Amino acid sequence: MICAIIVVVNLKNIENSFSRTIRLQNSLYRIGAKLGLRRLAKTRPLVILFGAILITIVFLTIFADFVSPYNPLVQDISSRLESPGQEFLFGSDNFGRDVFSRVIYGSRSSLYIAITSVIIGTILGTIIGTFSAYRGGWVDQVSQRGIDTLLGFPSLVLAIILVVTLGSSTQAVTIAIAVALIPQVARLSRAHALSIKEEDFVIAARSIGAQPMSIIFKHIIPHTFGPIVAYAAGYVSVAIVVESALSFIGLGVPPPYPSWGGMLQEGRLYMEVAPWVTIFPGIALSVTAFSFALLGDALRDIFDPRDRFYNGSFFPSGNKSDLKEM
Amino acid sequence: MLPGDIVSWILSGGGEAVHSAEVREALRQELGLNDHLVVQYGRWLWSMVNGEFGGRSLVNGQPIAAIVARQFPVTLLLVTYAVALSVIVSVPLGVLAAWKRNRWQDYLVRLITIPGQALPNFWSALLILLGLVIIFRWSPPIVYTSPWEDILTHFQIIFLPVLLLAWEHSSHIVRVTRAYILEVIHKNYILSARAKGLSQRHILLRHALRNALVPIVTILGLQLGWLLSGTLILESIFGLPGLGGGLVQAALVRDYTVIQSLATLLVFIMLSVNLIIDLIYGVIDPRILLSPQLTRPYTGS
Amino acid sequence: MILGFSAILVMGLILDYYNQVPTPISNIPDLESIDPNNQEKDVDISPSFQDDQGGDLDDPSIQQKRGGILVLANRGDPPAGFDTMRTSSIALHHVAGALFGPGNLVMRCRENMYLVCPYLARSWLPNPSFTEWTFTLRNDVFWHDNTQFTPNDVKFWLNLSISGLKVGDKIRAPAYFEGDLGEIEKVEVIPPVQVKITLKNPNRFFPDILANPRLKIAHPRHLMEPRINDGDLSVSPLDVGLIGLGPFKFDNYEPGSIMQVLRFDNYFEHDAGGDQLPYLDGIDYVIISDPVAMDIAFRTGRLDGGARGFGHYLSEERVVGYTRDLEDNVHFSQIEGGTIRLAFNVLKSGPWQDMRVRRAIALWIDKESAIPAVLGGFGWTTPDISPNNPFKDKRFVVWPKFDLAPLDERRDEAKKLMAGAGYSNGFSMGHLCRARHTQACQFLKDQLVGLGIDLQLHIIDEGEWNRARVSLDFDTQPGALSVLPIPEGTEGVYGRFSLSPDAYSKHEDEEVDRFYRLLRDATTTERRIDIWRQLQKYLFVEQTYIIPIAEATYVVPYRTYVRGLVIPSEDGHTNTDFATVWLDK
Repeated sequence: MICAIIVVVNLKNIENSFSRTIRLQNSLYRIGAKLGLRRLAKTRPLVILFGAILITIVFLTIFADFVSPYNPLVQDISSRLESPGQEFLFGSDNFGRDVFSRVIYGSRSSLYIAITSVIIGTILGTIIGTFSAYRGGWVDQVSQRGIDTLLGFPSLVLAIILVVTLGSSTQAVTIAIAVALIPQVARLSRAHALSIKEEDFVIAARSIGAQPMSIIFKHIIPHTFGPIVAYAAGYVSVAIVVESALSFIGLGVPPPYPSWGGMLQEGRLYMEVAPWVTIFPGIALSVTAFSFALLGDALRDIFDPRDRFYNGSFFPSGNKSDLKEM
Repeated sequence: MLPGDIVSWILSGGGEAVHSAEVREALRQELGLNDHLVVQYGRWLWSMVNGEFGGRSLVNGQPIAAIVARQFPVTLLLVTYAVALSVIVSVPLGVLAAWKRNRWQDYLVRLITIPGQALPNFWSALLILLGLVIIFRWSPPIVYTSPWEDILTHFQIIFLPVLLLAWEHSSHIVRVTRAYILEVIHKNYILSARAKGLSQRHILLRHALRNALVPIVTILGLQLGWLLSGTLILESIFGLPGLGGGLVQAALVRDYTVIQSLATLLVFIMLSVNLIIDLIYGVIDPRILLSPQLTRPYTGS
Repeated sequence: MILGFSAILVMGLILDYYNQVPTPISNIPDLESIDPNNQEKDVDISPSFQDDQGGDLDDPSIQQKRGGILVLANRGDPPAGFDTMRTSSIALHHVAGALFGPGNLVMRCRENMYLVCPYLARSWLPNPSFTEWTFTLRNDVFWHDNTQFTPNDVKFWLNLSISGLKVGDKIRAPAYFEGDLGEIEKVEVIPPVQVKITLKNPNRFFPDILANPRLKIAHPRHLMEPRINDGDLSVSPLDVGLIGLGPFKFDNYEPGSIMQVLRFDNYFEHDAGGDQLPYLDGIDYVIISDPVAMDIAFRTGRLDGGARGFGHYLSEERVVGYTRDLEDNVHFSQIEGGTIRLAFNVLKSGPWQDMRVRRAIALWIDKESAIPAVLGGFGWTTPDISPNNPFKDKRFVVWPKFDLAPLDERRDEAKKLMAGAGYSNGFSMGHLCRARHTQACQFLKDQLVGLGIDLQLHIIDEGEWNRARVSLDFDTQPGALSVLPIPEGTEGVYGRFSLSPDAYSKHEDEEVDRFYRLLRDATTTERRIDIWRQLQKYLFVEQTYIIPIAEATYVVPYRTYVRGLVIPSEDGHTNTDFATVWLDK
């Protein structure tokens, strides 16, 4: 949902500065039409359902201070591992901390890390991918080989190596996940940029002597941004899961600050006698990740029905031979 | 490259040992950690070239080539099973979802497959294991056996991680299959096939699916990285002595030579797999080879 | 003839004298009898054979005991090529006891680990000034390739441990325990079966040091020397095929998966009935790094015994699942384990340089709460060194006013001390925290909030942990869950080792040096115990360089049909040979 808002905000800004671009108006019209809630409710009831869940989660995250009944950090050893009930809605954990409050505050760390890392990864990846596509030639070759190499690392491995290097902190986890996403986004945005690059309006801009940077930022990126954001929403779900995996290895958000992954890791030793310690953060994590995945799917259907990213072979040559099929 | 000190880790093994600074220093020198980083890197690079494949592990002194020879088949089998299972299950599911677009079958397929991507696999693994213990008093075997030794035990131990990985993988394949079938259905040749009076089923399977194979194969290559990420933790939970677990362990204790060698190997594997996939395009879509103009028909379209 | 006889007689006398030195456990007054106010959890430690519990009346014949494969969990791959000189990791030492035996020349006695028993040496004899120790070896000890074990092997092993090797610009580091043996000046072989060890300074407790179960001989000279001469200075036991002296010989090792050993038919130890040990045909060590995975495998009958190692030791919560599935078919062995602490770096400037602040923190912490929250419910609050240990001060909880007053009163006192030191508004203090066990840090952080102290946790993973804790940068650190059964062994961590990497607390207090010097010079156990008490009082109370918070009880599950286990009363590294184990099924 947040990403959807970002899309709209971004596109509005873009609209102000490049309102003359016909393509953009088209795409805005497409968003407006396709995001039309009434129609959406008919065609994609799941998106509406999980969109509502996401909005609720975001709301709880923002107003955690008012919603949560306890301080998520304060321990009370005498009431440890109490089952859900009157006193503790979701039960209490090993230190007697309220699981409900921790789940709510945990969403702060988890969503902060996931969304920030996706934003960073998307921006950097888009710039790299677009620039590489625009310049072509050896710049493209070099950056593509670099990205091939990074893609060769399973993302979690790359993230682990980075966290280990940077030391365990929320920032380190964020950066690690962002860097793990950069090559994915770069490849995606390159594929999109390659097709936009040869469009008439770009050629026109070039022919009137516009600066390359200006062409990239004013003409190419605004056109590739929609589909990329659609993928970014899906990546948020990936980032949430990667954060939990890092936590499992002991490289996630430093305790005692709660994060969903961290709560799963800490609570797994009590899975049998106190299942609530892991069940609730687990549900929160999965539902959020699921919602983002679904949102990503829906946005992708809107912006990129042909799943362009998966359309390119692993070694794209930049051939525009079948553009006409579009 | 990385902070942290493998020497202390070796000496205490994550536990505790009292040892003098001299011992630590001597061990650093013995392992060659006092040399300039460039020298260390050069030594590693040379060992990659001269056939030693990265030399020896700093932690246990084993030749890295031997470590790889042992770990690689395990992960290879795990990943192969997972890919095979997810393709066998999710391509039909994707076709079904496309065929029954926006009907309950479509939603059901997506509701089942997307959580595979949204659930942390270590958590689902532990839940399944605990469930098996509580309900059936059964757990998978704990000692990995290769299929050549004892195929039954092999499948018992590898079945659950394969299932979890395939679940995760399926969500992507289902989506791509569905999207492409929908796309292709509106193409001219499908329309003409329909006009010829071919059955819906025949069209879906013979024409649409065949055309959707290219993106499906592509996504297999692109998602390989995520699939390998998934093996990292599952391997340690299910006791599979594979590459993923080995790499995490090496990273945590800063076994540089192993990290570098395994990372190089993974990059090499990923590049080869994708090269092979590029070649497969030629097989599943002859246009790619026939027309020089259409060498990369799907690129950046 | 007469000379030889008298030599044996003298040796025997001195051996007798020696054996009286460490006080057997029964001589120490019982904890409860002295301390009526003892609020500690009643720790039911079974110090010796597990059979004691089930009654040993109908001891089965050897035919019934023989045979079977014991399946144990091991918490990880043994690091460092199985080299006992390189690592004290329990992942190695849980396996190494079977391969290399429970000791070296001497071992901790199976029936009482605070005594020293002969192992590869039949007997030993110091000179009157305790600077020369002559060990006479058994002549029936064989390496697993059936090569005779000789005094030259001992010399090779000790020299390799103490000084490592240096050939040209290649070196082999000395053993990590070189510091403990550092007093050794030279090692001489006296043919045919004796080794003379000359110490730089007198030490009447030298065999005590040697009996550390981590010092295992895993280095066959006849196999390693040729490799070393060929330039492979770093040759490890794994490189020469894990040829050891222990009750089991190496069979198979699949890294990340399983380590298998088989009965060594030429093993020298015999049981009380004269039957050859070990009873088992072999042991499978299954490598399971995840504790939950271990629990599950054990509960479905895939394991006969659990792994040793913190994290794998059970908690009360995990025990629930075991007893539900296995009812009384599982036995929980308890080992007294390491201490969780808060240790200060007094060399770094900060409020903790003020003794009153440190004392206030010590008084403030609710130590009892740490047992369920941090130690999984098994443990007790203690100053140091376990209750079964003869060096433990049985009255400690009473005597130095350590923990006696009710928490409220202690906390009032703590507040006053903080105000007196000028920190009534509190301050911020760093704390190193191992990513592997963050529970203690989280507990401490919450505890100190009430005192106005903001404990900043610096989470570091395993690779970084050892580097960070040996630096001089940290404010406080938890030390580690180490077990140091003899007082002298604590000097490395408590002593004035501002330059020593391992010191938990960094301080420049020469008074501590003096205590340790007195300890080394002490001639009787009573004197050692007395000095040790004074030292503890000085370290933990008067100066509060270290705050011992609670001590863990390590709980390892075994199936009840696993008989003849020797569970050490403390120090999980002890008795990992499993030579006396048999399967009653």
